[in-house]
Amino acid sequence: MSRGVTRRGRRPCGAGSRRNRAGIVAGILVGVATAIAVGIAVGIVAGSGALAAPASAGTAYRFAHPGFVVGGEEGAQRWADDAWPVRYRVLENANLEVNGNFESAAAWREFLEAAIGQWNSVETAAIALELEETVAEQDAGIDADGINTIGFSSAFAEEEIPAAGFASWDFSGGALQSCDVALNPEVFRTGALQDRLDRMTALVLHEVGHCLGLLHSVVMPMPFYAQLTEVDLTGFYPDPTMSYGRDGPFLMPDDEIAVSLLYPAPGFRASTGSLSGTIRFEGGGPARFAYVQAVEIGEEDARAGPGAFADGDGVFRLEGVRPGPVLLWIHPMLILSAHHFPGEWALSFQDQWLWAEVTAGGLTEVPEISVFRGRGAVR
Amino acid sequence: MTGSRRLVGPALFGFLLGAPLPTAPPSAAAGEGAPTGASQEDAAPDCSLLRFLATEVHEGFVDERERVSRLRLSLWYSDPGTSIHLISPYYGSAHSDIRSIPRPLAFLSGFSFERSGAEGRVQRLTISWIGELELAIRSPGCPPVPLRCDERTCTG
Repeated sequence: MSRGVTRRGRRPCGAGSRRNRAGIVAGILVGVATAIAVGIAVGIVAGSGALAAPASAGTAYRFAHPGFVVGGEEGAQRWADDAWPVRYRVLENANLEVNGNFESAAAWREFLEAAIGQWNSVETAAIALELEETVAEQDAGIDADGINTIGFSSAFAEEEIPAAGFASWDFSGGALQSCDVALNPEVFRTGALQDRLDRMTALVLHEVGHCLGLLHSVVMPMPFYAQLTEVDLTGFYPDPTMSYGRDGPFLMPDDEIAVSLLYPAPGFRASTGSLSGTIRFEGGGPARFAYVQAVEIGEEDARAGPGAFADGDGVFRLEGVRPGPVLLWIHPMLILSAHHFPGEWALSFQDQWLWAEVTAGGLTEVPEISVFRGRGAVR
Repeated sequence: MTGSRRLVGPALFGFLLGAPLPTAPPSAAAGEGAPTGASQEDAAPDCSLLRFLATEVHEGFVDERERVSRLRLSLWYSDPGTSIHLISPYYGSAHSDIRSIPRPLAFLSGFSFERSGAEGRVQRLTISWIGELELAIRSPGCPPVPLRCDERTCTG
């Protein structure tokens, strides 16, 4: 798992993987057939049960920890304060012309700058990502040489990696030292050009998010039903995912909150509040790793706020929540690959909605939440 | 957007469970601004403060295949632990494969939340669903209140 104090590595997703690499898992974005059909890229954290329990009670957010523990911001894997700006070197790429997605290396670079720029534009986070003028040879990526690279990699074909992309990070000395983002050119050979570009943007956002220290969140609890959004544009479509691109190739509020919690800009913490509570099954027993999604209610809109897994004791804590009334949507983890937790986790209980009120800079204790087993399918 | 939305109603339906429908939210004149999360632990719950109004069940189509119903739900309550439980509909398989955990087929929109009096709260939301909807409103110490709706009407 570790090499001295350096922790790095990568691994394709478990299904279909022919490799068994040592090292800490990096994020991998895999487009599944149904997802691609609607222009959605689904992120899957690879792993083989090596993840430990959240670091501390009630902080099971989605930050990477050394050893790939999923947990809260305390002790999370992140860049040091003096690491900014974090610079990336674009991989020299021969696949551009083959794929026909970009007419030149300059266009590809411009595309990457725009995608990375979305992270930079999060006003509540103190981060700065840049592209260097120097390019890197295509085979220069995916190592721990202290140079961050991003681009299409030949590693996928050469090593038969069944993934759309991954991030490979180097965490040592208590901070991230480097992170390489590798993209699979084969994924972007088919489909309409705009669809390919959108998928690529989502992929870059996603993998760069991993390089910032974010892991996956749970997938949405509701089916995609785009037509309903036209019935009521204020409707809430919970999407607490990290750059899955469900609604398009842009960051979701949960992404912005997550990176803001890791690298808070001045005033962010004071302007947001926290919620905590315990989720238990009716009749006893913690709802281990149940998911709590905050729906923040504004005067004219509702949006997906932060979401968090409860820990093994059913304790959760949501941070970075917009002050005011908030609807909590409690539901089970819906997809195994979103996270790997040890032991059993609460899989089947009825969704429930509960209101709470958040104060700026404060912590609201939510009354104990009882969930009820069973959620029968009717279709 | 694919297909076209065509409302074929609305078939209005409203009812109230619990106490008669208040002309104003309960305890509206009892003072505003009570602390969030006021404890109910030391007092027996006043279940009469739990009441809801379900109105505006709309039947419509969002495309040529799926029929969607919508319900505007207003809920008055005092205990902050009061919650709405979705019992159905879910779609998908009930198999043990957790990738196939049935997922909700209800869509929420039109949220609002207000304080009402010292301990009162009023929440409103619109629930859209396909087929039949079954909810339960639970408040600590009070019997659960069921709500079942088909495409046109709701019963409690």
